[in-house]
Amino acid sequence: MPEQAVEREILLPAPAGEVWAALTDDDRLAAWFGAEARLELRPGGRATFHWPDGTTRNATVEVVEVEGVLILRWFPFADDARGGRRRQPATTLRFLLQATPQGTRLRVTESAPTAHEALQEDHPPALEAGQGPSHSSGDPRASAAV
Amino acid sequence: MSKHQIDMVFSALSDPTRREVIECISEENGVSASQLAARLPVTRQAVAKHLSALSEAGLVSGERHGRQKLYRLTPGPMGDVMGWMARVGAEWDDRLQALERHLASGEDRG
Repeated sequence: MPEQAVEREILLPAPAGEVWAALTDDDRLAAWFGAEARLELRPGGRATFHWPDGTTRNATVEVVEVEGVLILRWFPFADDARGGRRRQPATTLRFLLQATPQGTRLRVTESAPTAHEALQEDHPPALEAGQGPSHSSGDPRASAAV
Repeated sequence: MSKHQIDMVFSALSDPTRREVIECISEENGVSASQLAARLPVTRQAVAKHLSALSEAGLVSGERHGRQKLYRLTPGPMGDVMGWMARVGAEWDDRLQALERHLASGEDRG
């Protein structure tokens, strides 16, 4: 399956330690990221992002290499009441830092495994709008078979 | 999708203004070139040029409604991927600019 990815690279005029702190310190992250963040900085650690509009997105920390690599697995938005704009599949977020004589090269990649299918899952069911999640009929044999 | 088309998709997306055009289109269900020009820091002529490049790459399609032509992302996998890339890409453009400012302000504080 093809991967959809967004990649950006920027040369920051700051040492890698400074950039790493801006990425991993909760207060400093909140200062530029656009969301309040809580990050347990260890593989398997949890992370939560709260946006000012009330939306929340949870993540798992996957890779931590101090001043080098930070990889998060971002889950879809937890509360998606606002619809369209927040439609997002689960994505993997990679920060790669490289010290250079001019400062720190930061490469950010956000990727999702499959484009169309992942986004389709979040589409509101067009034909069943307002009916809530569909349930199988109350056939007792169906539940017994599980 | 032919190699020529793929090349055009990448060239269409390599331009920051065209990415903004796609982002705007992905947020609306049909938007005219004049509306886009009002929302973006470029002229109506420039928007028309970008829209023509995007149409040629098969990323957007225009449909005439009365005197206006309304543009939408082409439905289907490519349209969804492009919409996602434009939105997420714009988020990162904003965030990285903010990160740059954040690091610069730290320097000022000394």
